Amino acid sequence: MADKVICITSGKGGVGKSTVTANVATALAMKGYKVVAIDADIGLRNLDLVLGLENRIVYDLVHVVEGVVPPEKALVKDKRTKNLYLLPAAQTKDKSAVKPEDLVKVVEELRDKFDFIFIDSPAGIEEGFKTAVAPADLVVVVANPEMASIRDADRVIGLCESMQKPEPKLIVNKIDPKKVARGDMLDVEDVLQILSLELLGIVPEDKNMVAYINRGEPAVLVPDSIAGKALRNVADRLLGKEVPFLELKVSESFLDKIKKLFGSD
Amino acid sequence: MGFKLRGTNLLGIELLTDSSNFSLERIKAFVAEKKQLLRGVRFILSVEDYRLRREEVEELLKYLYNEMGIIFCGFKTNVKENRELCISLGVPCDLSTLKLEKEKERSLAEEVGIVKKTLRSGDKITSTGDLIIMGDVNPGAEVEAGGDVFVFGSVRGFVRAGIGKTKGEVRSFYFEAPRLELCGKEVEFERGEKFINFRAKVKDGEIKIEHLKRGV
Repeated sequence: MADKVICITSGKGGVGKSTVTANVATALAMKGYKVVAIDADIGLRNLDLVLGLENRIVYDLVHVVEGVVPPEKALVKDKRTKNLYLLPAAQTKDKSAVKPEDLVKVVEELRDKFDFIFIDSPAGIEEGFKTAVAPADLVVVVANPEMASIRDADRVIGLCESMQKPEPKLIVNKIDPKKVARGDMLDVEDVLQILSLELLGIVPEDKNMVAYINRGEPAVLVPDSIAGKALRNVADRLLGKEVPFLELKVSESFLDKIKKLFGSD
Repeated sequence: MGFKLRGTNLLGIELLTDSSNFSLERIKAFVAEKKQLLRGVRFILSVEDYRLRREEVEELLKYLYNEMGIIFCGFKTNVKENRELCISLGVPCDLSTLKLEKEKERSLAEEVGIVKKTLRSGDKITSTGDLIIMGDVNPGAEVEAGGDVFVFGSVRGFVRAGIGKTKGEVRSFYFEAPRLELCGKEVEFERGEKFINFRAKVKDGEIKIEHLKRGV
């Protein structure tokens, strides 16, 4: 079996950690695996929003850590996707409410009951990040094709190394083939050259993503979403399947076609 | 105080004295002042052009061993009589041509660091001598070396080499960093400027850059 406890992290905020977590967890649950997504972003929870479960939270991770309820009781079951559970973060506390050993304990209690445990890490490299990474068998780093995100991801990879974790895997998120073709955005190759990690997925920019998040509907549930397809592929790769990466081609504009016809570059 | 301290190759510190500044009282005061620094390291006293007296050596030994608890490794001198005196007292003493040694910037036993990983953002590696990196130096990573730096990979971070030296070089397969410091001289590169088979060298006070291919 593949790695069971997977932490999704990035260093920089806003690169799509929660979106990737929600979608990959949903995709695996759709395949029949029993999956729990733990939101470790204490104080700034939003994984519940991406999954559309915000109205159904009663207990959260801090309640579990404090021993108010057992982990099973705090889990929120997704009605839409069978087998998918969420362990939400507390909104009223901060990162210091959960220590690395606390999360390790919670994960150990859940380990036998689930096929996959996803941990959505907070941004930054402080205590919250260390807590989120502590129980992980596999760390997945999400990076956008921009220098700020790459540098932060690089730092996070170095920290994982110093925490004796196995080499993280990489998801390049929000890549825009048009901008890459114009030379306005770094290519996946450029990102890989610096980070030199195994690539787990390339997720293209999807202009409907904001709408999916606002609706609380993970993109993997939308059959014609290209980002959804890329994220379903990530889930397959986590299961050990060999899936080719999506070919992100730029459709030629009418003007380009005419230029080509006349042989001008 | 008029004394100079310098690091030696084997985790030691050498106190340099000569005929113009040798005074037992002043050495004692200097050592007492630097007690924190000298604790736990090998201490060597270098005496140039000054003939030591037996009682001076005896008193100094008593002071260093008994009162200060310093690991005293012996003397270094260019005066033959000093060596004979030390040997008769059972104290190690190297007879060396101090002049020659002073001219040489580097000792043969200088540290050579080997790093077998990619230095990622936030990592910092230092070496008093040469440094060999089998991996990349990523943006945000720092490398500091007293000697040369050889990178078997790409350099995108900051490299400072040849610290305190007048000769040195930095080599890498690929170089795309905003700046580089070599032997105290700084070079800045244009944004997006990249080099293949990069080599920066300082010779006769000039920094020279060689490469196979350059691209912006």
